[in-house]
Amino acid sequence: MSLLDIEDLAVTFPVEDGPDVPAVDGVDLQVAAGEIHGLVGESGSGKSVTARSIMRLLDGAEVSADRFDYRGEDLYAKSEAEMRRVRGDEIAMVFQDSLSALNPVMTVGEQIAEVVRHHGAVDESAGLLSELRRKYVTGTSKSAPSWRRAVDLLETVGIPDPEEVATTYPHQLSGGQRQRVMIASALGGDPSLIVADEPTTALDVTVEASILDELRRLCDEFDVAILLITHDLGVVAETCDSVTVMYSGSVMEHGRTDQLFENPAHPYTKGLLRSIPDGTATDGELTTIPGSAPEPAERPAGCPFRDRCPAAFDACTDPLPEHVVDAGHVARCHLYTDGDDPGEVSWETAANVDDETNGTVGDTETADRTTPTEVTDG
Amino acid sequence: MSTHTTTTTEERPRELLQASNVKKHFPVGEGLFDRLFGDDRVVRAVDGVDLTVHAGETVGIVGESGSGKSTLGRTVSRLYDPTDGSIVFDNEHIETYSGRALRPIRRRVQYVFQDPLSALNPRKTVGESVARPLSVHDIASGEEKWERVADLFEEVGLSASQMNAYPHELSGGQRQRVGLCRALVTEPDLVVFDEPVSALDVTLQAQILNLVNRLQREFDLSYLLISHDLTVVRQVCDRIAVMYAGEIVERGSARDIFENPQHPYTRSLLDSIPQVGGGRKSDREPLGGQPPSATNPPNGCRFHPRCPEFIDGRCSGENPALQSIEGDGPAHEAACHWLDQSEGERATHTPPSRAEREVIRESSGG
Amino acid sequence: MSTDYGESETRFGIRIDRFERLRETVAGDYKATFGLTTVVLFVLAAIFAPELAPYDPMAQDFALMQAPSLSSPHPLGTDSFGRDLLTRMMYGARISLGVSLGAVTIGAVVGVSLGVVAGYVGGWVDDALMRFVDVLWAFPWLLVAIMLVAVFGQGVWNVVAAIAFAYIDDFARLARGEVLSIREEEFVLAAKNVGLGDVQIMTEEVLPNAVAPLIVQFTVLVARAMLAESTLSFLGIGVKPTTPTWGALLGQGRSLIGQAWWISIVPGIAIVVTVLGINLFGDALRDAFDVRGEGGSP
Repeated sequence: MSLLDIEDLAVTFPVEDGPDVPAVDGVDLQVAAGEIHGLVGESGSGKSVTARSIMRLLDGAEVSADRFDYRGEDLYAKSEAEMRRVRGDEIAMVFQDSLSALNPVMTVGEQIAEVVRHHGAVDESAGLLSELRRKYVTGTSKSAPSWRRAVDLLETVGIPDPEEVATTYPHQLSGGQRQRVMIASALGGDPSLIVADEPTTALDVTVEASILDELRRLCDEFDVAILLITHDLGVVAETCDSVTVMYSGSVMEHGRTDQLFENPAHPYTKGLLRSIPDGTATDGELTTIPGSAPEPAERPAGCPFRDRCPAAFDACTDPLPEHVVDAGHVARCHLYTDGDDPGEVSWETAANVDDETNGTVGDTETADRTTPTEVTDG
Repeated sequence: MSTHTTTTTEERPRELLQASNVKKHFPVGEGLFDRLFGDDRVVRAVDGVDLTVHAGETVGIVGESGSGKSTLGRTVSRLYDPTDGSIVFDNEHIETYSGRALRPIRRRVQYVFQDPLSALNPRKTVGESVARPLSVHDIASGEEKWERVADLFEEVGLSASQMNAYPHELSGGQRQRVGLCRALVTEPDLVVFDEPVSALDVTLQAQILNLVNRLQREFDLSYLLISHDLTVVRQVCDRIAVMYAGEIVERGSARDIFENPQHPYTRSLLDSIPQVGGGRKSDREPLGGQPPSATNPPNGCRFHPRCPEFIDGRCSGENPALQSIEGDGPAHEAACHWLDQSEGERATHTPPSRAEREVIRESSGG
Repeated sequence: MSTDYGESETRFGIRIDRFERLRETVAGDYKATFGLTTVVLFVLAAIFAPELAPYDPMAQDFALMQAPSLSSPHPLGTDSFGRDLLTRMMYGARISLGVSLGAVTIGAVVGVSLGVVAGYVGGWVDDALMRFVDVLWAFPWLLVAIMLVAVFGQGVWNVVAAIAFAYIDDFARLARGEVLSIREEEFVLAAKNVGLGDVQIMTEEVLPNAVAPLIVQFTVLVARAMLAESTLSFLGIGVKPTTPTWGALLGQGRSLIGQAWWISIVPGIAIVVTVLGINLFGDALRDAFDVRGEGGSP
C-alpha cells in the first residue's frame, strides 16, 4: 500500500494583476512505505512546490487534486490543528539550506529536544510556560528525557561526540554536520515519511556521499520512507529505489530506478542522461537539450517539452497520455501511443546548441518533426 | 577540450602564468588592537602553491569548500594581494603591482564569477556592465563600443536587444553568458573561471561548457577553471590540480588524475561522485571527518586525520612534498608518503579503524 | 548592426527610463500623486509669492486686525497686526521650504560623502571620519544655532547651517552602514576586476545601490527640518523677528489659540500637509529607483 498517494495534483499561485502561475499541473506521485523515492527535475519543474504541498506549506496557493492520501487519509481534508500533528509526527521535512532552517540562537541539542517534546513519545511537559521557561531561563536540563533523546538522535545520524555537539550552535558546525542535525531533528518525531528538499545540493561531494549513505541507512534500519528531491541524476541513481522525473510542472516519466536508468523511455529523460558530462564526449562537445524550459505562463498546450523535443510531432499538442513501459515504469509521451517502441530518439549536437536567445529550439539539423527519427544513441 | 599537447622542448607553448609558492593568509582578528594584543591567528587559505598555465591550455583546480581554490584563483588574478610568493604573468612579476600598474594587467587577465546575479551591478543594464571595461581601458568608445558589445552578445548566444535588460530580468543561463561577455570584451589572454556552471541546471551546464570550449578555440584563450565538480573539470581541462587545505596534493593531465589517481584524497573524491551508471555504491567507505581548521592545520600531512591509508607516525610527522610519478604523462605529481613505498606495501596496509582514527584526530588537533 | 540598443537616452545625464519609471510609479499611486502635487503647489506658491500674493506681507490693515479666515478680503484671515495671513504664508513658504530643503541637502551631501568614503575605505580612515562625525553629533544643535546667532547675528543662513550641521551624522552613519554591506557584494569585486579605480567604484557601483534608504531619510529629515526651523524662529534665534516663516507664524499664534485660532492652525496644517506630501513622494521616488521592484512601502 502506498504511504503517499497523490493523483492529478495541480498547484496554482495567484498573482497580483497578472495571470495565475500554474506551478504544478497534473502530477501523480506515489511513495511506498520504507523506500527512497527520488523526485527529479530542473529549476522550474515544480518539484519543490510538490514537496511543500505534501506538508501543506503553500500559503496562498490553490491546491487541487483527485487524491492526496497519506496512509489512506485525505491530507487536505484535515484541519490545520490536525495537520500540525501530522507535521513532525508523521511527515517531517529536511531543507536545503541548513543554516537558515535552524534557529541561530538555540543550541542544536535544544532544537532537537524541542521537536522531541512536541512530537515524540517522551513524557515531558511541552506547554507554553515550560517552553518559555526553557527558552529564556533554564534551557533543557541535561537529564531530561528529551535531551537524552536528542543526543541519541545525533549519534544515530553519525555525529561524533554527540554530547559535545548538542551544546553547540548551528553556525559553529560545518555544512555536513548541520545537515545531519536537520535529519536528526526530522527524526525526532518518529515520522514515517521524510521529505528532503535538495538536502545535499549545497554540500561538497565527499560530504554529500556520507549524507546520502546516512539517509540510505536510516531508511533501511528505521523503515522511514524518504521523498528525495534533487536535480542530480547521479544522486538518484545511487540512493533511490524509485524515481519520478518532472519537467515544467508535469511528470514525464516514473518507475523504479533500475528500470528508468537502463531503459529510459521519455525523450526528456534521455536528454538529461546524455547531458551529464562523463568524460566520453568527443572533441569537447557535450550533447545538450537546446533552449530552456518555458515559463509557467508560457507553457505550450499538451506536452510542455514539445518545443525542445527533437521527436515532437503533431500529436504532442494533445494532453499527456500514460504509457506503461513495464510494470511500474510509466512514460508520458505521445511517441508511444501506437503501442510500439518508436526507436531511439536522436540527440545529435546541433549547429547552435548554445543558443539561448529564445525559449525554443534553434535550427537543429535533425529537424524532421512530423515523425520520430530513428538513429541510435552513442 | 583543446587538444594541445606538449611537444619537443623547442615547441613548448610559452608559460603565460607562473605562480610560485603563493600564499594568501587572512587575519582573523579585526583592527589594530586585535592584531597586536589578541588574536593574531591567520586563516591560511592558500599556503604555498605552485601553478603554471601555458598559452592555449585549460588548467583545472579542483577542491571542496575550504580548500582554498577560489582564493587561489583570486590571488593569481590579483583581485587579492598575495601574502607571499611570486606571480609571473607573461614575464612580468605582478605580485607587487598595485593600482595603476595593475590596470593593463586587468585587461589581459579576466575573471568570471560563480554567481552571475551577484557579480553584476543590479542598477546597471547588462549592456552597460559589459561595455564598461572598454571605456576603462580606452579600447573603444561611443558607437563602436556598443557595436562591439552587441557583437559579443550575439557570439555567446544572446540577442543584442538584451543589452538593455537588468540582471534580474534575465535567466541564470543568460546571466552567465553576460558574465562571459564581460570577461571577454577586452580580449584577454587568460580567463579565470570560478565555478562557472555550478549554479546551473545540468542541461544548461552542458550548453555553457560547449560555449566556453568554442570560445577558447575562436579567441585563442587560456583558461584557469576552478570547480568542485570533477565531471565538469574532466570535460574541459587539459591539466588538473587537486587542492586540499590550501595546498596542491596532486596534479597531472586530466587522464592521469582520473585513470591513475595517486593521492588518497583524490581517490576519495573520485569515489564520492554520484554516478549514474554505477548503481548503488554500498561498498564504498565515504570520507569521514571534516575539512581541517584553516587557522590551525594538522601537523604533517594535512589530510592525515581523514586518510584511509594513514601511516601512523610518518604521515602525522612530515608534510610530504609533491613528487613525480614514474611512467605517466607530463608532470603527474602527488604529495603522499606512499610514493616512497612500494605498490605492494600500499595495497596490504591496514588503515586504522574508526575508533583509532578518532584518537588520532583528537591528538593532531586537525 | 544598429546601435540603438546600447546607449540609453539621457537628458541632463540622467537616464530617461528612470524618469519614465518615476512617472509611472507616481501616476499609478494616488498617494504619491497627492504628495507630489501638494509639494509642487507649495513650491510654486513660494517662488511666485511676489506675483501671486494679494497683499504685501508687512502691510498692516488696522481695520481688520485678527480677522478670521474666509472673511473677505482676507481669505485666510489676518494676524494681530492686521497682516494678511495668506500672503505671509506664501512668503513664509519661501523660507520654510527653502531652509528645510536646503539644509537637508547640504547635510546629505556632506554626510553621504563622509559615510561612503568611511565605509568603503575602512581602516583608520573609517575610524577618523566617524569620530569626526561623532563630534558633530555630540554638539546639541540648539547650542550650535545659538553660537552661530551670537557670532553672526540672526538670519536665514545661520538657520540653514545649524540644521545641516545636525543632520550630517544621520546621513553619514546611514550611508556608511549601507556601504559596508554593499562593498562585500561580488559585483564590487567584479568592478575591481574590470579595472575600475576606487573613486569610480564608489560613485558608479556602490552609491547607486545605497540610495534607497537615503532617500527615505531625506524626506523624513525635511519634515524635521521644518519643525526645527519653527523652533528656532519661535525661540528668536532664527530668522529676524518680523520675517514670516511657517514656524514663526505658528509661534505667534500660540497664545491666541482661543481667540484667533487661524494664526497657528493654518501654518500648522500647511506644515503637516507638506511633510506628508514629501514623505509620500519620497516613497515613490525610492520605489522608482528600485530596479528590482523589491520593497514595498513601509
